[in-house]
This record gives sequence, structure tokens and C-alpha cells, in this order.
Amino acid sequence: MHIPDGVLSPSTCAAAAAVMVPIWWTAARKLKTTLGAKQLPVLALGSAFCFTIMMFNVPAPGGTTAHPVAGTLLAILLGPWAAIIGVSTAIAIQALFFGDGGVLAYGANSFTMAFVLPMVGYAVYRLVAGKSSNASNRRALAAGVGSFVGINTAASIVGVLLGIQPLLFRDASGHPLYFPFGLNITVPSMLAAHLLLAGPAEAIVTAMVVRYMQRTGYTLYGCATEATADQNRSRRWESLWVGILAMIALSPLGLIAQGDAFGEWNAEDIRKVIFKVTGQSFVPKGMAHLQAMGYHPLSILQDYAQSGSSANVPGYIGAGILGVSSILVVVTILGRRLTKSEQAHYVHGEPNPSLTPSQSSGGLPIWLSASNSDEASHLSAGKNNPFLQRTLAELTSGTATALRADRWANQSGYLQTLNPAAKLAGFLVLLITAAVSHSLAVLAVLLIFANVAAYASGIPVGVLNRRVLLSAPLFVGGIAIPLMFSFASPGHPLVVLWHSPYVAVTTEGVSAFTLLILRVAATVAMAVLLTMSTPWHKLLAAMRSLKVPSIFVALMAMTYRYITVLLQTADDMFTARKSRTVGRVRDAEARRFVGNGIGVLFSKTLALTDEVVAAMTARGYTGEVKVVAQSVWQRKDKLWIACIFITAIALTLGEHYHG
Amino acid sequence: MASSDPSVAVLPLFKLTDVTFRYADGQVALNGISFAVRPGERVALLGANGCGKSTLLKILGGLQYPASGQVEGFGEPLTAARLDNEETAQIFRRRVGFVFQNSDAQLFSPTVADELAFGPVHMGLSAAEVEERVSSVAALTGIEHLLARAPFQISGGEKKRVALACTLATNPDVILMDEPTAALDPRAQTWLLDLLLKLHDVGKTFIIATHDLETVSQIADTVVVFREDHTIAAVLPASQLESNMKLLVQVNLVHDHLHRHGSTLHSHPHGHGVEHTHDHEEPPHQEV
Repeated sequence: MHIPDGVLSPSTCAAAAAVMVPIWWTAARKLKTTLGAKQLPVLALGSAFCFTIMMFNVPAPGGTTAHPVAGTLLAILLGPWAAIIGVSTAIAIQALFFGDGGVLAYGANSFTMAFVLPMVGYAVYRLVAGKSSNASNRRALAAGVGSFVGINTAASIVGVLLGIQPLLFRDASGHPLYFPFGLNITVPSMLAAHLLLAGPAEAIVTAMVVRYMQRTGYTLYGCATEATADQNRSRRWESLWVGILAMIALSPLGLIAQGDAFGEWNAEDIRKVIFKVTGQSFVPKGMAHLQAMGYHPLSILQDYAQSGSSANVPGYIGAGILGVSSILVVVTILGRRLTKSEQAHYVHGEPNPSLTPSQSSGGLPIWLSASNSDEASHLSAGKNNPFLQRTLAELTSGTATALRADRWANQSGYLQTLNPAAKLAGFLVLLITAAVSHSLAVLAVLLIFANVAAYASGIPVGVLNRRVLLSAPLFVGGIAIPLMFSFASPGHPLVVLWHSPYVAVTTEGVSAFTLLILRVAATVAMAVLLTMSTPWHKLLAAMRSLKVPSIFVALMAMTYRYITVLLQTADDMFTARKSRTVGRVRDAEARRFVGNGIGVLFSKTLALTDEVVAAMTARGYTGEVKVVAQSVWQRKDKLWIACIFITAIALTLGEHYHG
Repeated sequence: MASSDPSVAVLPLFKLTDVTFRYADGQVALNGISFAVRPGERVALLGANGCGKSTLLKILGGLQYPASGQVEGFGEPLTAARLDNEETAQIFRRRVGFVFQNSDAQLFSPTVADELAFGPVHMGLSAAEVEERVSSVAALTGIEHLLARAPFQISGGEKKRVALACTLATNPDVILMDEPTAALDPRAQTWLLDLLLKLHDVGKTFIIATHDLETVSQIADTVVVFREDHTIAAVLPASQLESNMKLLVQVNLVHDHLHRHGSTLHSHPHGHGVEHTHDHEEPPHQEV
């Protein structure tokens, strides 16, 4: 669900970030009053926990595996405000270190995964759970339903953010500037993947973790024993959540409902939109030309337009109600079955007095002294258990990336000698330059610059480019490849693949494809180069001197610190599971293991949090983050930043006048 | 009144009277604990796993408060009200350092240097003073080469050194330590014991929770022995511990161990961590 840089327009990114700022601010204020001096350690450990379980693989239908996003879970365990901050911090570190999700798209990713997902999930959870007790099954079921609705709402918002790109941002010849496909493709495809695969996995795991925590006697958020005072508050909360939920649910509906305007978009409407966005009044030449040829670039939206038009609103809502209720039925049945199998599990787990093992003379049970090497030799925990293999592989590579992050950063080289703050500012400028560019030449210059800078800093060019290629086109490749063909980019045929129906690779398609891939690659290259050439603690200091709020920097620092601890713990858990695995693990069993594993990890995280709070208090921490003064900028740093600015302005202006 | 009695030359640093502590679930962790710690004294809290040693250390460190009974530190009661006050809390935190058992919990900063600076910075020292503290405490503990490293890039023994160094950086009068020798190899143990001796010579007070019988007489003058029912069995000089095996058996720290060596059965008290040899003849190996 992570959106990379280069597929959303910079204005969309800015708008999403602008929406997130007051949300973060409110969350930080709420948490300051409820958590006090514990705020930093509790949130840091919560974020690290969130990051770690995002690396787990859960078996999903069809032999696939999915990553939990865990926002709803975090909201149920620690509260919705803590979930906002926790998931935001986790995806900030994912963006900076693992190239998962963009830096400029951080606001948009936070909006979907850290705000919409936990808020909607938590609201639905509260509605379904009602006033049931802390230990009730209904609450666990509510957690599953909540997380299912939460992840699907977030996925459809991602679909909307992507889908509005071609509607709002097209170049003069009508080609989309950023993400190429419209709402009719993005929303259904995001929803299909999450309704069928990731959603059920997320729901089951969330419900299981909640059940596990209920059994350990953990008090879920908002389930305090002081019922009277809390109930009043919770009722107020509930109405707030319902309001938010309704707003969120209605916003994509509203967009689709305006679909007849989108669908029958003609030159006149384009002029209006362009006037709204840029303040200038013109009709793209290509648009007019295409329309003269009878081509409606967005006519595929007409189906949506019809279903969304006023006449069909009751039908639309009816379908929505039907969909949601069928989901509820499925989840209820699933929940029942889960409860039953858990109970069966317990019966098996009870020690059976009639089966007391006979003791051998050494005090060990006889079975323990017999060898079973013959039976075990042909069984292994091999490829049959993808959830174990993938999780272990990802945990290991995650740990390795985290541990080796400083490998090149501590070498001597050009970038390493720069003041980290100057470097951070410079790369940010270059990243924005790449993100707003629509010129192959500008993007090529930026990519060449990244390679030269890497070479001058002793960072292997091959490693840089491999990281760029690995993190960028996985997402974009799938979208961009269809872009080359005539059905997505009509134009001059380059290679005709099929005559009837007509399928060809077009010149326009190839250039749109190259542009999208290059833009994403250039933005990723800037972010990767920054983190590869700067030790983590210096990057933090740089953020501080660029006036990033110190509580946020401290939170990132502590989160990263405890990610390494929790990744190791999780790695140990999965390795131990693997070492005891004989033969194929059934999917249900695997999900139970992951669910309980997350529960165990959360309990360990809570215990560690208490210890960290004590350790910080013992050394005089009272809730106020204090840091030592920062280093100064040298002439070299000023020169670097001046060069970057001049280059960025020259490239942008050059593109503007040339193109 | 103790303070008006001329025979009492030194006031106790810590004084506990009938202290009882319960966990959140109501389980008792400490039951009627009373003892005192003099300035410059080295006290070991000795007991089996789960007897309440760590809880007691946290109470002494002003991190938890007893359900009943009085705790005094530096002549003043240690209460939540006093330690919630930022000013009195700062004075207390400055004087009491805490080396936790779990180094991963104690080392929460991005680098070792940041970790050493954390205490001094939060005490309000100037940048120059902080730098001085960091470099000298790093030199004392032999971790200068680790300053730029992240806590996850160093070994368990190195973490322990850093944990001790960041506690010393605030120059506390009293150092509380929870199982300091547990994660250390023999060479690192010797290094630690040497450093503790040096610190004792300059007048530092130590209160150390341990179940390590081997080192207890080297790190402590006084031993507080805990029973498994969370009460104190005895407070005695460390030198008398060896001759008190019966007491150690009674508190379940060592146990009458049933040994089987071939066909010979024998029983003797067996302290964990204490090396012992057997002079029985090895029976011939039996084929099954």
C-alpha cells in the first residue's frame, strides 16, 4: 500500500502533508497529556513494534502471503492517537531506510496508513464491540471486523489518490504526467487485492492478537475498569469516530458521484480545471486534437459516471450495504470457527492424567531418550512453509540493512565530508526537482549526478543502482508496462503486436513509460544516496538543525534503536518455530502462530517499555528532550548547497522554457 | 531520635522500615523489609530468582514506591510526591545511578556517545562539560573506540561497559546495580570488579542485586539474604557467608543436590556457579 515518489503530483503530496500536520499536532498534544513523560519511550517502542510486525508474512488465500499493516491493532491496544504516531514513525523509517514508500509521498502514505486505516478500523471496532467486557469474544471479533474495514478503506483511498492523478495532471498532448490510470482501474484493483487477500489475513491476525492479549489480562485501550467516567467519554469518542468514518466513506463516493463530469470531460472542462489549478486559461493542443479525432481519453470512466449519477445513488448505497453485510456474515462465521478451534486446541493442551509419561531410570521420560533420527531425516521445514521462509528472510535482510546502514557512511569520500544538514537540504531540493520534472534530459542529468556523487564518495555505483532498481519499479513496473501499449497510450505505432483487437507499442507509450520509470528512479536515487552516505545519528542531528521538531527526531531515534532489538526478538521467535517445524504447516496454524507471535512480541514490547522508562527516569529524563549543540556549516557546505540550488533552478527553468 | 544520638557517627544513606510491595496483580514482591545502608558501604542483595531483589533496587532508585512502610534516601522520605517534583527529583537522580540488568533497555540512544551524554545533558551541564564527561568516562571504562557506534553494533560485554559508563557519567554517590556480572565472561568480570574497587576507594556506595555466590564476597561488605517468601533471612558481613551454608540452603539459593555417578549415590550442597570436583571412580561404560 506504499506509494513511491514520482507517481503522485507534488501538489497532491503537499496537500496530503498539509492535512497530516494538524493531525500529527493534535495526536502529539493528546498523547502528551495522557502519557506525560512516558510519551517518548511508549511511542518509540510502539512504532518499533509496528515496524517489526509489518515485516511478518501472513498466509493469505491462494497460497500468497500478505504483510499486516497493524494500524487498527495498534489503535485497539494503545489508542488511536498512539496508532497515528506509531504507524507514521514506522513508515518514515521504511521510507528512509528500506525505500518502501516515497519521501515526498510520506504525507500521502501517512494519511492512508497512519490516519484513515487506524481511525476507521478503530471506529468500526468500537461500534461492533459496544459495551462488551474487556475479555469478551465480541471484542476480538470486533477487532477483526474493524481491521478489515480499516485496511479496505485505506486501500480505496490509495486507489482514489492514484486515480485522480490522470484526471488532474496531464501534459499538453493529453498524456498523464504522473500516475497514468484512472479511478475506474485504481479503486477496483486496490480493493480487489485487499478485500480478497490482505484484508482477511489482516482481520484474522488482528483478532488473534487481541484474543491473545485478552488472555494475558491486558486492558485494551478504552476498557478501563473505571467504567462510569470512561463510558461518558467513550460515548463522546464514539460519535466523533462515526463522524470521521462517515466523512471518509463519503469522500470517494463524492468523487465518483461527480463522475459524469469526469467521464464526459471535454476541452471546455479541461480549460476550467486548468484554470482552477494553474490560474491560466488554455486548452491543451493535444486534447483538442484528440477530440477532433473523436477520441475521449477518459471515456472509460463513463460506466462509473452512470452508476454514480443521481439516479443510481440508492442502488449504489444498496450495493454498499449488501457488500458490508456480507462481509460481516463471513467474518462472524470465521470468528465462530476460530473460537471453536481455539477451544479444541485448549482441550488438547490440558495435561491428561491418564497419560502421565513413564519415567526412565535417569528421571527423563523414556520417549526422550529414544532416537527419532529415522523419522525426522526426510522431513524439513523447507519450501512448504512460505510464511516462515519469507518472514525469516525478510527479518534477516531487514536486520542486515539496519545493521549495515553505516557501512559506506563512515568511509571517507566527498558526500561524507559535508555537513549532514547541508547534505539533507541539498538532496531534498534535488528530490523535488526530480519529482516535478517531466523531461527525460533533466531526469537523466539527475541520475548521472547521483552516480558521479556516489563514485566520488566511495559508494559502489552498482550497489546504488541495484537499490534504486529494486525499490522503484517493483511498484511502478507493473503499472508502467501497460502504459507502453496502444490501449493506454494511443499514438504512433512502434511495433504492432496484434491487429484485431488492435494492440501496439506506441512511441507515446514508450516515452510515457520511460518518463515514469526515470522519475521514480531519480527520486529514489536521491533518498538512497543520502542515507547511504550519512550515518543515522548524523541524519538525526541534521533533521534537528533543519528545525524538525525535536520530539519527532527523538522518536525516530528511539524507534530505530528498538527496531533492532525487536527484529532480533522476532527473528529468534521465527527461527525457534522453524527449528520445531516438521513437515507442512497448515495455513490456519501458521496464522495462529503469527497471531500469537505478535501477541508475545507485544507483551515483550510492553515489558521493555517499562524498563526503558525506568532507565530514562533514572538518568534524569522528565519528558523534555535535550540535545547538545550542533556542528557549524563550513564554506564547503555553503558551496554545495549553492551549487544544488543553482542546478535545480537551472534544470527546472530550462525544462520550462525548452518544453 | 537517632539524629540526636551522639553515638551514631554517620547517618544512613538509605533506611527502609517495614517495606512491603505488591505487583499490579496483587502478588507480594517484598514483605516487611527493613535495613539501612551507610555511606561508602557495599551492600549485596542476595537471593534466588524472583525473591524481589530487582523490585527493591527500583524502590531504592525512586522508580517504584512501596505499598506500605517507609523508605528514606539521604535523610528524606522517598515518596511519589517528592520525586514528581522536578527539582527534588533532579537532586536525587544526580546522586543515585542505576545499572539495569537489561542493557538493551538502558541503552536507548542512537550512539554510544549520545548515550554517555544523555545524563549530563539532562542534568543541565554545558556543552563543553558534557564533552569532557563523555571522553573521560569513556577512557575510564575503555570504550573510546565504541563512541561512534550504535548500541546494536556492540557485544553484550561492551554493552555492559557502556551501561556502567553512562551511569558514572552523572557522577552519582550511590550506584545501584542489577546482576552486573551476569552477562560477562571471566575476563570482563575481573575488569568490572577492579573498577568497582577503585570507585569504592573514592567513597562510592554500592547496592548490588545478585545471585552470583562466587563474586559476592568481592563486591560487598554486607550481604542482605532474601528468602523466597520475599522477607529478609539475614543481614550479615560478607565474610561470614561461606560458613553459613545452612542459611543458603534454607533460602533455596543452593540446594542439597542428588548426584548420580555410576552406581554411587551421594548428596551434598551444591551452589550454582561454584566449581566443584568429584573424586569418585568413573564406572565402566555400559552398553545398551
